Amino acid sequence: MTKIKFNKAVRRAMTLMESHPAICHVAIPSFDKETRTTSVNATFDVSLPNAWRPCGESPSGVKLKEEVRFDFPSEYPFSPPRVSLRRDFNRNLPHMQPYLLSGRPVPCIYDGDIAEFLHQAGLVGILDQVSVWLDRAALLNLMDPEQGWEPVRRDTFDSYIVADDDKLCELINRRGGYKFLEFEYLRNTFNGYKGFVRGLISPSVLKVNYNAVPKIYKENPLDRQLCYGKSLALIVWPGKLSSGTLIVADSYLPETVSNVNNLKERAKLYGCLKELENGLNWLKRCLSQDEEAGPLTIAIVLLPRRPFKVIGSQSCIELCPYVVDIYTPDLFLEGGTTAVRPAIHLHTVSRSLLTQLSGSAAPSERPRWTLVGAGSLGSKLALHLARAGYAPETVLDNSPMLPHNAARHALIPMTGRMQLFGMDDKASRLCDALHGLDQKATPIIANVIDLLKSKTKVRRVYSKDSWAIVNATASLAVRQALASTESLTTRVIETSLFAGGIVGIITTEGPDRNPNTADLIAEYYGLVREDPALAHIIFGSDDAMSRQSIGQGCGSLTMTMSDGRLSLFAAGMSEYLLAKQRDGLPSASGEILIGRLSADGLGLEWCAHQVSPVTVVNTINGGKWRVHIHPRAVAKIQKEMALHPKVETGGVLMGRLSEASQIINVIDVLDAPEDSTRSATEFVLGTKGLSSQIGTYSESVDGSLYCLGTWHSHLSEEGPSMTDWATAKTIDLSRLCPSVLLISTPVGFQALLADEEGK
Amino acid sequence: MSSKISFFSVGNGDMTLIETESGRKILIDMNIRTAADDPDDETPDVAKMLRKRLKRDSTDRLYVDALLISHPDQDHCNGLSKHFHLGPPDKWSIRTDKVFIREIWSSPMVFRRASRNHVLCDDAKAFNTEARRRVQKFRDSGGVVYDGDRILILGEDENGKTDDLNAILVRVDETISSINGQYDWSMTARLLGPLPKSDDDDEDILSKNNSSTILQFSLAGGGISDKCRFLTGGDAEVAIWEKLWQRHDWRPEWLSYDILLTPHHCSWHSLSYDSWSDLGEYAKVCKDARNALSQARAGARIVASSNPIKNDDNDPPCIRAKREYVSIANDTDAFKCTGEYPSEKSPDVMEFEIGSYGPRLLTALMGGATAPGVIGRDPQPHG
Repeated sequence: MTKIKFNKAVRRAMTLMESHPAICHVAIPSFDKETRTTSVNATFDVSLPNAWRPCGESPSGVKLKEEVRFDFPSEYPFSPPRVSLRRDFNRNLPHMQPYLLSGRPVPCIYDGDIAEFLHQAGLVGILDQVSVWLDRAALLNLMDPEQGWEPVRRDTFDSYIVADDDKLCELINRRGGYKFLEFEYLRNTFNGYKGFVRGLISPSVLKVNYNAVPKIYKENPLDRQLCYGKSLALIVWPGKLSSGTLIVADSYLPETVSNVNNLKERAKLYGCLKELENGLNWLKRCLSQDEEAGPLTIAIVLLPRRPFKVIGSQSCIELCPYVVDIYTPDLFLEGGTTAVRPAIHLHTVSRSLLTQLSGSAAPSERPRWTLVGAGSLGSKLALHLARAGYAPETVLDNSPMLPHNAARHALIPMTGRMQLFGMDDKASRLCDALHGLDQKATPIIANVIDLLKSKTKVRRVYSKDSWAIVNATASLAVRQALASTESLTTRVIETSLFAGGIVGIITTEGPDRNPNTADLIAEYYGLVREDPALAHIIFGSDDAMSRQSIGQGCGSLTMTMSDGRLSLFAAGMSEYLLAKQRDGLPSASGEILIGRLSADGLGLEWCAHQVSPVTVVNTINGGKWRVHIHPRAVAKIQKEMALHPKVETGGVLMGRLSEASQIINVIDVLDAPEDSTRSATEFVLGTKGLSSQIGTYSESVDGSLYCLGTWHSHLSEEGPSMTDWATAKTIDLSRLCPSVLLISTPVGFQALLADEEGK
Repeated sequence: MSSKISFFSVGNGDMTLIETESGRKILIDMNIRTAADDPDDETPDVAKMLRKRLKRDSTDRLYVDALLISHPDQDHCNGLSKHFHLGPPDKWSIRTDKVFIREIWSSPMVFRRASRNHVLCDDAKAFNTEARRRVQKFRDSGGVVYDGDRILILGEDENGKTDDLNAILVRVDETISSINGQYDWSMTARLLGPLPKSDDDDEDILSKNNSSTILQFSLAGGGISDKCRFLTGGDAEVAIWEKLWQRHDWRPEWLSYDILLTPHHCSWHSLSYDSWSDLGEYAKVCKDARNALSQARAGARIVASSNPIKNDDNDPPCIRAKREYVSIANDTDAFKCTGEYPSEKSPDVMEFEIGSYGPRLLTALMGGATAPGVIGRDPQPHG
């Protein structure tokens, strides 16, 4: 007798088995030279309740001591041992594989790839799982009614059928019956008609009769191995008992159907044999006048009714799909022994599936929001959110998809001549992609500014109960248009990148759009100025934007960066949008988030700043011109007035203005020069060092913030004096842009504008 | 829904946690040895194991609903002062984070004065002090007491010191159906001992061991009452079990069990008047005591809370006693020793789950704890 030499890993495994607390005996292993498999039988102590111990087994037939075979392949420990139970083990239990291993039932001990589980938890994990599985099988606890009915294991089959289980369930009734539905498929012909089928059942009911059937079926080769076909799916469901109660299939059976006879037996157990036979007979009659043809691939779906809701479904109906090849005119070429192949059921792409996979429960109605800009950043935001079930309802962009967009746009270009079709408008193509994710969106191909400026068209941009408008255009003009459109009542969130993708920002307007999207950008410049390193990044490089050739004589002004870097920012911004859609926008302020690329370029760090509402002051003489005084400036003015309570005082206003929106953003004030004079009736701003102070300030932000005018206080509530009016006129003559003369009184601000309009 | 009984591996000592189906927790005895608190020692860290099974209340106190010390021997109250809060509830501190005891179940021995025959260890003295504080609080407050001040006295004091404590007194043969002052539908416990002293009892009957509290618990499982009976009797010796049989032989169900905690750590002296080390196999079993401990229901399990049981002269645990219990259960596998479970090398908590099918011993797994000497886990990433 030759002594078998087992590999070290198997020997180690046996030692481990011997020391496992649930294993009471490990038998001498055997080795199969042909398969190079080492088989080890281990006897597990099953935790039976006291009451069942005297008879040695559970009512479900699990014994006090169960011998389990572990077949270690030669590739072990790369590949896991195959676990099987004694041949006469009760197979009618949930979590049982549909196949046998050398005639032995195979428990499904892990809901996933067992090879991965071996590497994750080691053999200890597998032994523990076997022990837990046996204990639960003994108690019939493999299925938990609270969790739901465990569908029959089907994940080892080659073919799969995609079908919307909710919609299929809507088609059935309490009476029992059958229906024919549209079925499209790809069939792999590598192994003849035994190749796998990938099918899609649409919930459209087909009228099947003598005339219709020949027109329904067609199959065309796509390449040497793959055929595309259109056919039909027969769905069959049980009805009621003579007593009137619904037929419920409450016992679990592993999937063992392999031919028509088995299928009918299974239908009988599910209470829908009559319905299956009626459906097949009708199909046979419809085909009876056709010439001999076949095979034609059809899908048959049995829909047994279970005692409680099926796991992952809102219904008690389980989907059991099969694929079978039929012939005309006799239907089944080999009668009852004609092969039937069980198939896996897969959910269709649906919002609920996406939500589930994204790890959170989405509201039944998706929040309404508008995406303005379907470029590289906007497209990524839309798709990230859509994949979580939160796609925009409207996408606004008027530019076409061009070949150079392929570098960073979320949509993938098509090949060959199909590329032409891909050069549609970005908004349309993006909405097509969103529709593919079961979320319809409306594309608007139009100039955003034109829409916003039109009182009638602006309503197309957003819904009445819109959550927000997300501006991903990185357009200064669009930003100002959004800021200045007073009829726009929904809040605006802006996302944009700076400095070649080193910095990204998210700004979110406050309640009642205060601060608005332009206020927040002015505030952002103020924040950047306070951080010299960040200011150097944002304002220090001249080449962030460059014109890139996208064709001969044709270029695009853009910021060059890799798709990966852009995606880093897009991912963070999407998470922000998701969080705000779930939790709500800031309730008392606006918000600025500044994200910075890490030094190694691999990650981001986001810093959030809350921005309180700005103080809005209409100019006395400037028509629509308004002054938005930011909290930082208000605080400094109040502090200065507190220092000089008995004399007038003042300083210089810094910030930015927009001629388009006619808003002056005062984000900061500079102290009055030391040669300024203060008295109870007058404040005279000095000049010593003022020019250089303003210049330094402005240069630090590359001219993004600049002098806007001056402010001074009044000791009483009175408005502008004659001197103030005269000063405003003087300023107007000396400056090329509108300037503001801000007066701070004990009860608030007043503003004079100095420009052509303000004369 | 299930109840649970957990036996901790504490050598020759007792430490049992009952979790009722309604979620209340009753700890019976403890033997938290110094070695168990030493992280470098291999003795199971039973304090940690216990704390893992307890919940915190709204003020962040880890608590047991009731604590029973069956009798004041060190192997039944060891570690009390170190791990449990004793004293007024408002003195509990998160800094020490000791386990808060909502209600104490005490034998009337706390009223007995220390004597040559009644020597107490520090933890036993601390327990007595705490029990007497709670009794005093009960008297002072006119019976209105709250969590951390509650106490039940299990058995009457022979000198009349419990005569004014009717509201918190449980007499022998009566049942307890409240825990921490609240009715618990999922549990009743019948008080079988300590038995009242009769005139012909000798001094031996008054020993601490024989004053052990003996309870037959009836626990619900799967929403159904009385799915498991658990008999526990501290260190009560043969004379007590003999008397119990004589007292209840006409209603043996009062002594019936699905789980029995062998008295006195599988001591021969609970079954026989003879000495195992002197007489060996010639030692005789007391028939009545054996009858008292033989009322096993179908498939009953018998647990020895002791060191591993060897074939030697030791007592407790005694190999002959083990043989007797195996014979009572009529099943070798029915007998389990906490010092050997799941293995002598790495003992762990022995847990029984009580479901609608009655009690079952939960299988000990290897991966649940970080098993020493085996290849560790590898987190599963996502791709």
